[in-house]
Amino acid sequence: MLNYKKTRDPAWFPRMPVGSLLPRSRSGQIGETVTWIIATLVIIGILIIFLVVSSFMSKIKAIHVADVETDMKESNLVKEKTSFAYQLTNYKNKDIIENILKKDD
Amino acid sequence: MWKVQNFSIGKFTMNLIKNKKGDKIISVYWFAILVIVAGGIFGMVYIFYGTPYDVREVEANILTNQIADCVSYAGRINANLILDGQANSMTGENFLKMCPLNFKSDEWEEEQYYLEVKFYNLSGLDNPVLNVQAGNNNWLADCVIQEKQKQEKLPQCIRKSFYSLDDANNQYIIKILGVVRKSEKNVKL
Repeated sequence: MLNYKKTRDPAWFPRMPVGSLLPRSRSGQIGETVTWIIATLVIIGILIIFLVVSSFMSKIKAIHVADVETDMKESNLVKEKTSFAYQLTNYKNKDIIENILKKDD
Repeated sequence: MWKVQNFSIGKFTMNLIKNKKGDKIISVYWFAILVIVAGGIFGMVYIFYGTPYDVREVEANILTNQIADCVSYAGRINANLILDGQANSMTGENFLKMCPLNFKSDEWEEEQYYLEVKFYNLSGLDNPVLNVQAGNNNWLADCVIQEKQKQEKLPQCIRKSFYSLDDANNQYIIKILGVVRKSEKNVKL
């Protein structure tokens, strides 16, 4: 192995560390470090966004009747029963009954 | 620690310094990033798949539909319940047998369902002509809270009301309440 410490002339390589062939650039090192730090923060930020999104998505897993009924709006069983009864009585007291049912809803 | 390495490109030989300490730091950094990303992915999967599908509201809706079908068919009230204006007193167990519904399950120590059917004559909407209750009535109190503010962890209640006639064409308003608990299997407690 070569011994560069002996052959190096400090007048020609003032910013070179002992035992090194290439000069070290301090501003270059700072720039690179900042890039890594920002990259790390970006990665953590993206992960946090995904965690929040998955938490929000997990709340959508509750299935409500309204979601199911949008696919079969026309087949409302209870309304069908009421309309059958209306037909049997020729719509007697329809307005009164409608008001009572509306209040319950 | 700085070490000299010789690289040959054609006729030329270059001597470069290899920084072993820096390499170690970068390796640790990459390992840390790997752990963070893996932890994040684990967290996402755990949050999403750890939350069960809550189907209790739909189940309660199916229960009320089943009761409605049993109580009234084609606009006429079931003759076992009201016949010629006279209400037959019926226990919850008999009602469950008639409909037919089975609230008992090996999976649960106590019944997870409750139902209530009230028949009101048009002339007297304050007092029900017939009141049938079945299941675990402990869940009934939770429905009052649910009506004020929706709570995920409490039992889900569905109320339905419709109009029907008996054999003698007497008019009735029928109010059904279906309650399903099963919180442990439908909500992350």
